[in-house]
Amino acid sequence: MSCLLEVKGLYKNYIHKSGWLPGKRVCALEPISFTLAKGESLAVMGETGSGKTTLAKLIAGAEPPSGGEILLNGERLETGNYRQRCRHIRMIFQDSLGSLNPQTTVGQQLLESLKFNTDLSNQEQVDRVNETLMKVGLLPDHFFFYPHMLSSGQQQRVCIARAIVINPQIIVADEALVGLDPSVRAQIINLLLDLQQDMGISFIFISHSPEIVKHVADKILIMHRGKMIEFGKTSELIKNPTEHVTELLLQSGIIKNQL
Amino acid sequence: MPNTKLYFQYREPSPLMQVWINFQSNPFALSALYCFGFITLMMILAPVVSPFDANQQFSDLTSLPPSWDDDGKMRYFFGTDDLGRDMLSRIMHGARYSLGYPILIVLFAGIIGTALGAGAGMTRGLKSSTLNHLLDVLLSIPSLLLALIIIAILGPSLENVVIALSLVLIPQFIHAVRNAVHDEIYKDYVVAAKLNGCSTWYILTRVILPNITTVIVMQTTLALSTAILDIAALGFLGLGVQPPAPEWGTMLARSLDQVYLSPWLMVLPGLALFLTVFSINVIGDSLRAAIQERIRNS
Repeated sequence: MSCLLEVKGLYKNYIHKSGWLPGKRVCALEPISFTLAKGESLAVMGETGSGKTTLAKLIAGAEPPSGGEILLNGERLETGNYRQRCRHIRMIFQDSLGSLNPQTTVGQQLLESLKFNTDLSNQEQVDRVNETLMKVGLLPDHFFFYPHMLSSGQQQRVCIARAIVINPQIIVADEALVGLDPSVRAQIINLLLDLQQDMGISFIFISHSPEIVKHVADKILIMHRGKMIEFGKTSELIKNPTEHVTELLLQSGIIKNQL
Repeated sequence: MPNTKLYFQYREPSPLMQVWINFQSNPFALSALYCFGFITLMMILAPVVSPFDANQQFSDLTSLPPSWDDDGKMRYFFGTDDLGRDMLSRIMHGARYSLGYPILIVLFAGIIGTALGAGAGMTRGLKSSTLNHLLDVLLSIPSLLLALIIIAILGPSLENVVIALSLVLIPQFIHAVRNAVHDEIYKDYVVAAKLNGCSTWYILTRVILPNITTVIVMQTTLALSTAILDIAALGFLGLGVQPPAPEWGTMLARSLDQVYLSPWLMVLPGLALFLTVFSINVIGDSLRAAIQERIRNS
């Protein structure tokens, strides 16, 4: 498979500044390199504060990296160029209600990315939005709803609709399934897998749940204290984890016993 | 005739509509709104509906008590002052100075302050600080004192009062709007809009502004009551609007020496001033309560 996304030496430092003194440098993510092929799912796992969310934000462009580069199909993605990035890489936030504008209808928010990144006519844009709403299991009627009128599962679907409405190549999901109850979570996972099959999207998703990771991911990336400590195929990592942390995170023992 | 509304369709109101519904359910708020609307209407229609001109003198009918008094005349509903001018007409025309000018001042200060504040909120670093603290020096001086200084230099007149009050109100708007924008800009939905590739202008006007309207409305009602009180105070001190203009503060000052002979000269403009400021404050307070209720319910 061809290489879609290539991350080379990407790192991020935060500077905690107090007063006039030069700030203290905190390393959130040490240089990291990996590749992702088309249609592949990559799961990022790790403890809280291990730099997972930072990695997701850097890839989606929500935060500027301190150094390193991201190549998409061999083309360098520039920091701060949201137009270039959002055509190919979209992000699903952890807090679905918080990432929807409370004062605007769902339809308007889905139109935003089409308005700024495509040259479709107004009617075509509306048609595309309605089509996308149907795709994620909502109705065209939801176009006129405000975010607070939807249930949390529906809000999550709107966020997914917003991510796929302009046919991206990569979707970054930052713990997008945490707040949902098991049945809705299963629905959303199946939805994402269906979309992946239909549209050939690559996923980078951050998750705590070994069951989901095992079900969905082709590759797993384990983070620990800002470092990537393991990267490999799901089945291999589950069978032979080299690090203790990996074993704990994947609960390999339990899964192995079940097999 | 075919009935197009065959089924009852419940439509959840939009967030702004929800605020209005909450506001409406409060009778005090609604009566304050009607009161304010009535005063504003009187101000606009004063040249048409007022019985006489503000400065027309009836030299044979000086210091006539209001019409509900035994000596009063129905023709002069609120009575006349010591120069024989009709009080009702004077109060109606005076609304233009005591309410109209404050509204203009607040509009002017609001537009400039909101623009600068939004600019300061959307940018970072030196540019943001410069915009934010541009007029901070003016905040350290109380508005009345600043007006006094400007009037000491330029001389007492309505224009100078307008300049002074605008200068005082602008930094308040800058700070309120800048803080509100700053609070919103790091929230997920703004980041999401940024990742949608929206232009900065779109993010400011369509994404952030609808979410801070409440702050702007609150600041506007606050500024309006300040401006009304300051204009009246300066008029009372004889530094703002000059007689014979029928400004309410000026009328209060003029009535001081006849307060025992004809108390209505003091009570009526004072009452008008009180009603205006009170209704604005009640509207502001109820608006805040309505907004908080909406946030709690959503």
